[in-house]
Amino acid sequence: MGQLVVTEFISLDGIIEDPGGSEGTPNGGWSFRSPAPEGQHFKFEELQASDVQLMGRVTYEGFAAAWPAMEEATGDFGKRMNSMPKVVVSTTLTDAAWNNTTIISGNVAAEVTKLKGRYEGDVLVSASATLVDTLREHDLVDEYRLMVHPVVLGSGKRLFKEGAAGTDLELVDSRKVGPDVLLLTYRPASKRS
Amino acid sequence: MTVGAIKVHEFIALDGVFEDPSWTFEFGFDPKMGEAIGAITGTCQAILLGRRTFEVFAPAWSTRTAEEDPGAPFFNESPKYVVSGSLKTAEWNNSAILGRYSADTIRDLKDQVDGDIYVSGSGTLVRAMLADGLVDELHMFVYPVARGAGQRLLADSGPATKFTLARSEAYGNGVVHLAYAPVAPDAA
Repeated sequence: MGQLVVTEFISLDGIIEDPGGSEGTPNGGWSFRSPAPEGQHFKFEELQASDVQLMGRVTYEGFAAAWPAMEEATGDFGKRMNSMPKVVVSTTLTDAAWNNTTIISGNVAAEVTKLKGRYEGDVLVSASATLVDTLREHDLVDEYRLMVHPVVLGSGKRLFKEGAAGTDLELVDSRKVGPDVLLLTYRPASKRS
Repeated sequence: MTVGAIKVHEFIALDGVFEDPSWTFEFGFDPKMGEAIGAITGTCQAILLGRRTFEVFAPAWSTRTAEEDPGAPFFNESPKYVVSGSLKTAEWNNSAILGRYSADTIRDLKDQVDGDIYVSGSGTLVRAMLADGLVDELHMFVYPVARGAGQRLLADSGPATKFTLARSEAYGNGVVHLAYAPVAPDAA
């Protein structure tokens, strides 16, 4: 059974919105301001260890617009992004044109549980703030990997939104992946093995 | 005389909540964390607080002895400055009221204090000082818990600020110490 891994670029004030700039938000692209060479290596290994990507509609639309044209610039990473199975959660999307994409349009908790059962490797979730809220509410997240960037953004969607239920976590690992960038790995205490 | 640094020390949950950190107790206190906090307070010759934090700290620390908490002498004996437009009296030993927040008041205090200045809690004050470029070190002790509800240190609508990571250290109790220094906007 696959582990559901939430992997995020995150600002010091907890914002995860549009780190790559593909959504065109005013603060978009902030993850590029601090180099993280080891972080890139980590991201590739993480992608290799995943069997499927699960995402929310906003993230999907940003990725689907960007990645098909990026294979030349990003090599194996881009090829993997485009070829691997992708599942998008949306009640409005009817046509998901990005290669190898299917849509979940309702009953998210049950569908994601089935998805985890279908794969041996990780189910990888990046960005997708709204979806992550839903996954957390249903205790479906097995691990959080937070690449903490040294910037306060002031506004934007947060990983842990105001008023959500509290969660106890365990620190699994912490390491630097760039001069000013940290990777913090947590598991929910409810998933203690 | 060199102008001292303003060092901000916060206990914070992974979701940024820092209000009433009694929730930190269950994680115990790693001795190495005590050393890290000692290194922060060690160079500080004064304490600067917002009104709400002052009103929580004053009764809590003033009854604590060095035997009960090795931090007690620092908090009780250091000169303390409270930013408040409403506070009339500050009873805690060696306290003074600075009046309403202004960047110039804080700059004057930096000039006047021979050493670094320690700040803890005091969200409104910290946000104002970050916006005015007055914070020199931001030390966050991040606890492995998302609180969900409660005030956040870095609330919405503050200006964007870039930092460099000066230091980081993880402790056995799952707490991570992140030491950041803001990058001045003209240098960013």
